[in-house]
Amino acid sequence: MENKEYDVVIVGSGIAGSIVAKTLTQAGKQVLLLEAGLEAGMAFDTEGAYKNYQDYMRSYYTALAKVPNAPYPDVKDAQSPNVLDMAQINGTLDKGYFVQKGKLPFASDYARAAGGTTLHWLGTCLRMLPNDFKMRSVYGQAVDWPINYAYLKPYYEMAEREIGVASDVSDQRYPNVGDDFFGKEYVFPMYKIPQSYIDKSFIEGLAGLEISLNGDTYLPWCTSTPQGRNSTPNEKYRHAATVWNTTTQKLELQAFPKKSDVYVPVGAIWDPYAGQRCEGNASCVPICPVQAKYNALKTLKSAKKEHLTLISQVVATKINIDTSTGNITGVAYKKYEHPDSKNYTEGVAKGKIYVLAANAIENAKILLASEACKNSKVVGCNLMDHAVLLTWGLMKDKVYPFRGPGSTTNIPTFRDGKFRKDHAAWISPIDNWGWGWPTGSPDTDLDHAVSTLNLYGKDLRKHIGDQLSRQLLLHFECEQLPEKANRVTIDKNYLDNIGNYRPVITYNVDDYTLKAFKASKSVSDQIFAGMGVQDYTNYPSNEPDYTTFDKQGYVFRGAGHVVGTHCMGTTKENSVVNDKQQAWDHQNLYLVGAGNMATLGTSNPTLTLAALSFAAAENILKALK
Amino acid sequence: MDKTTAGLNEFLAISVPLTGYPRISLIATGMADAYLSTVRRITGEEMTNEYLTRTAVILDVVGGNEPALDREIRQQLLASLKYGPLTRNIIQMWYWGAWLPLPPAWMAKYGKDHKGNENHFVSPEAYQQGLIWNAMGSHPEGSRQPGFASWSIAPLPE
Ligand SMILES: Cc1cc2nc3c(=O)[nH]c(=O)nc-3n(C[C@H](O)[C@H](O)[C@H](O)COP(=O)(O)OP(=O)(O)OC[C@H]3O[C@@H](n4cnc5c(N)ncnc54)[C@H](O)[C@@H]3O)c2cc1C
Ligand code: SF4
Repeated sequence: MENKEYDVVIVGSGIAGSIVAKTLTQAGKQVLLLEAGLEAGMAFDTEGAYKNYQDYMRSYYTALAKVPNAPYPDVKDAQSPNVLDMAQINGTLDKGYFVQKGKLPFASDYARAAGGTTLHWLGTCLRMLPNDFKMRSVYGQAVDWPINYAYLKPYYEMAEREIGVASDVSDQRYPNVGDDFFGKEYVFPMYKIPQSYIDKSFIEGLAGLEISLNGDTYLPWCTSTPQGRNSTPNEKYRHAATVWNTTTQKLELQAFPKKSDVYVPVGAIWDPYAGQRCEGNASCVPICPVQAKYNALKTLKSAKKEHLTLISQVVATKINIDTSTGNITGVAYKKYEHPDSKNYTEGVAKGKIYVLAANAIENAKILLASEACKNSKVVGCNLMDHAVLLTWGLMKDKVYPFRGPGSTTNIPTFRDGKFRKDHAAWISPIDNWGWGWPTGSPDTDLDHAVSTLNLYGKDLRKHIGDQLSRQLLLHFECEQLPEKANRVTIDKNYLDNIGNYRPVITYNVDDYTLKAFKASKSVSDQIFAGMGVQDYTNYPSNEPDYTTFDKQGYVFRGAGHVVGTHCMGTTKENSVVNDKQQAWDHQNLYLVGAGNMATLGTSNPTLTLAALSFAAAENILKALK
Repeated sequence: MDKTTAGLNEFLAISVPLTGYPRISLIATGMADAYLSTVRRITGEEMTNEYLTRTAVILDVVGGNEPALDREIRQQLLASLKYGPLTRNIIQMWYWGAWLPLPPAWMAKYGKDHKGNENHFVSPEAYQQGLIWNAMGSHPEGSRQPGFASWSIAPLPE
């Protein structure tokens, strides 16, 4: 690898890096992909892939707290953040991988392993709304993106094909979007994932309920949630692949050669016949046992092998810059042999073009360590996440949670509206996994029943049957605006096992989002009252992300949506990358991932970052000629 | 009877009223041996035997009389400072598959400082065999998948 110059060097094999690697190799380019995670995670042979995954499953079964990173190896030399390390901050919180110095702890994590965070994501695949790209001009808030919805639309279709999104267009109804939001004839690769039994009662309960908010009246509605998990192929779907057209210099969705061809769901990486349908394992976060849920290894596996060199256990530390031209001359890395030893060898990988796809926080760290993109002065700034307010209660009737994918329905009503001049928008997913997230149910309820209620035997069994089967959980995922002060920095006093920087995070939630907590809690109260849900929501002041607004306490949680840090913009002073996702200061450097997103909106970020990754791959192919 | 299965009958016999599940359901988890061994390993041979003898006597004396059995289980087991924590642990082990740490004072007095009294799943299988899932009309998350679209209808009545 030392002596070879590749067309493109990519850092990170998450969905962003894998999409770029697949697109470029299939267009005939020579790609080197550096991945910090363990070699075993890169196994694509049937036996190796299966064995590695079964090890993940074993760890999952025996993990006491089944948090997102529970199934995956905890590698000291390429550490991952863990939500269990979160606590309130008094000065500095120096526990686990993140160093936290803000008012509030940043509550999300990611996976540093082959395949990245899609190993444990939920798979919700919503597009951003047109107004999300124009927050400044429409609502006088934050910034406008240098690109708009219309620009991204064809790339959204490529992303939906790549992930294999299951949804029905006819079901999708969002505020303030025109008829052309999806193309006229557009269909998703697969029909929607069946909505849960909970959803059905909830939808019935909500029907006709008038909600008051800021003096206005709303009639909220429910929409099935588009998701990256295998369902029944839609025979009307006609796209076979995304290909590079050398004549038009564009990426295009290519039609199936034959009329009789249909979309084939992508199964597990060890067996294409496993995971062809979601089987309802109900453990999508942190791990889908059969890989019916999309993960980036599926994309990486379909890259063109002859053109791809994969190297794992390699942590990129710095990019080298030619100060006279601003061009990148190599990626400096440390390769470790054993996950926890302090030994490593160093090297530099060389290519014509470099792509950082290590995710928003790691990309920022590498840029800061390299003193790259200095003109903007905003590298690491504008860190965003959805601040998730949860509310929970008991439904009147049994709805049988803890079954099926994490969430199959959402209330999209408050994703956009004139209230955004004043406070954040939000989306409300209806959860299928009981009170697991806020209270640790079901085992906490079991312990309560046995130790406090003194139940045993048939009474215990009946109690569990009555209570746990009525649990309802709602999310209010509130958008955050880009704020310079919410940022990732580096500090030589905080290094990891092999001397790389750990992310130092300063984070807070401002009034724009706090006002949305108050507004969404009031919406929740009205829904619960209207449906006869017994409210069990409480926000203890000792929770890590406890905060107050207007004399009321709230606890929010991270959504895992790590966004911002190298935002896309209109000038090299206000942003790190331009509308091509190319670093303003370094012509042969592209950044991909949710770090590029200028604002957050209310959709989970991955479909958008995947669409952006296709756009970036197209720009790179154009630049390579 | 060899070492691992000694006391298994007694253990199953008391586990039936403690869990509210019939003997066949408990056997079908395939976990009875492992749970009894866990009790033995952590609380010691002596304590385990004493407990099983005591429960056998209770079952024997009350015969099939349910109200009497409830009274004895409550008074002699759950209310007892000695047997209560262990009884609750056994119930929770059947329902959740994990061992809960017994209080240090209890361990010092009755458990004779045996090792292993940390919170842990008995095995990957134990998690998958927890009785709680069936009790709430579900299945262990990540295992025993019920199949495509099953979540959109109510589960079969037990
Ligand atoms: C619990 C949870 C649930 C989520 N659910 C959803 C959802 O439902 N919908 C949605 O849209 N999004 C969801 N997300 C977010 C989603 O997972 C991420 O947005 C997405 O996976 C990010 O992709 P990425 O490729 O940019 O980064 P990552 O997936 O984080 O990939 C980065 C890769 O780079 C590697 N790497 C890191 N540092 C280095 C280095 N220095 N050198 C070499 N390699 C390196 C890592 O090992 C990894 O392979 C969720 C996240 C979490 C935590
Ligand atoms: S519900 Fe189960 S099968 Fe379906 S995606 Fe989630 S974990 Fe996989």
